[in-house]
Amino acid sequence: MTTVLETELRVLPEQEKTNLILPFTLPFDAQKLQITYTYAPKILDGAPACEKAEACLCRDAGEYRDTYPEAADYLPLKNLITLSLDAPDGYRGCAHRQAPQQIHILTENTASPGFLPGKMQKGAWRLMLHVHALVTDFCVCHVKIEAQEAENG
Amino acid sequence: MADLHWFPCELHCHTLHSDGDFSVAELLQTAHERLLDGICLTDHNTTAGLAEASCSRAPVVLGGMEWTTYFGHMPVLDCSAYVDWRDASVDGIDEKLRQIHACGGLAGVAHPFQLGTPICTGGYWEYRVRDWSLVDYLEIWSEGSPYLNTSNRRAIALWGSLLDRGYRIAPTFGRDWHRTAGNKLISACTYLGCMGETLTPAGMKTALQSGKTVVSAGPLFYFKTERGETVGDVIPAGRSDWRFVTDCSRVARMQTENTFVPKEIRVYTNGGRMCLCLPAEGERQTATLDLEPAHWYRAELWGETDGQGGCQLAVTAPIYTQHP
Repeated sequence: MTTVLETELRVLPEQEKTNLILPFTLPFDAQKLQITYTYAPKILDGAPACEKAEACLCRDAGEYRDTYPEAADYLPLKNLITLSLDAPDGYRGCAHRQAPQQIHILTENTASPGFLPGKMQKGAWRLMLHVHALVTDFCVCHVKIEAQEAENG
Repeated sequence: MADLHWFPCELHCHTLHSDGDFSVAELLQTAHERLLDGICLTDHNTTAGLAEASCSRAPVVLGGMEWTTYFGHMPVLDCSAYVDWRDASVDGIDEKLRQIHACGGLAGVAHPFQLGTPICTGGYWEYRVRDWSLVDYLEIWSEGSPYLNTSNRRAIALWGSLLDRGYRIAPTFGRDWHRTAGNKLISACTYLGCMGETLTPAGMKTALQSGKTVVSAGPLFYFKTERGETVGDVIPAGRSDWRFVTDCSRVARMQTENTFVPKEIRVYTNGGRMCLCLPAEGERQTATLDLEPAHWYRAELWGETDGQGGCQLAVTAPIYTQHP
């Protein structure tokens, strides 16, 4: 397996609701692509989380705030940074789920849940991180992408 | 006019391809057990489950993807090409909706008043839609407790205000189905009115496009005029004889723990004004309405759920009257 991308990003709260684009190049047609992705921390609890949850309730429930449970019932709050993938020929799917440690494997005929199998041609690819929620002071994301060259490549 | 058949469907489903607990096979099996004839597979930001699901016949599956963005969740159905959800901006949603429609897709607004980030990321609808005619359907009921739920009441109010402005938007129920645990009112569904006795994905799509939807906690409830016009149609103003149909047979067959007792049939029109209220008695009832031009009229079934009164049991999409 050849590592085609390995990077660590420190994501800040002001980057919430933005996409972080990580372009990479496949130097050959591949028979297998493996994405290893982790981020930490995952959760925020206690008084700081309560404050954020209350702010969310006041903003979105507005005048109906009193019909909702206490802010503490929504804890812990979670960072959510999901990952999507583009091949040179288009969108290859997304892993929209909470797990902060993920491994995704794509081949021509199979793919981990959320992703579309297909040829993995050499060229310009793109991985994107989607910062849906960033509730902690920062969050460190680690991405490693490895590729295995096709036998007839 | 040929009679429509009304098929119970679940329009908002997730699997392991996003953050659901269901495998595709488990989702299909559970939908079948709940006597659902059709589902929309709407995993967050992916259509990966469709390869496995699309060959299902019981239930049939209309493919889609729930755009799960920072500013709202928007199920997109049967889009022939990928339209990028990732660069949707609060003021740019109309252009995205046009792109979706250009690819033959439909778009709905999911749970517009769900709490948003960080509690339910992006769950609160913040997009500033300029032209609501680009929105095909609005989830007025989300999850399983439609009538005691602030966010659903707000969604119904939003829908009513859009109808008042002349937009014709189909109402839907979406369980936002991720797992069986914690499901309330397992008979709740959207009934889709389709031609023919067999439901197809194309039929589901046509029903949504033509506003032939009934949102229900369980009972099938709809109306038609003596001329055979029904939910979603545009008809002349004036005197109109309606026949209401209330059918609890699916709920009975499901053997759920929930009980529904219809008490009242109501018809609402512009401004949320109730223009008809009659006691619910039996499966078929008639009433005469005097319809004003350029109005909408929707029927609602009210009654008891699990012994509690004052519950909405079903809401039809409107019938619309022609402009003078």
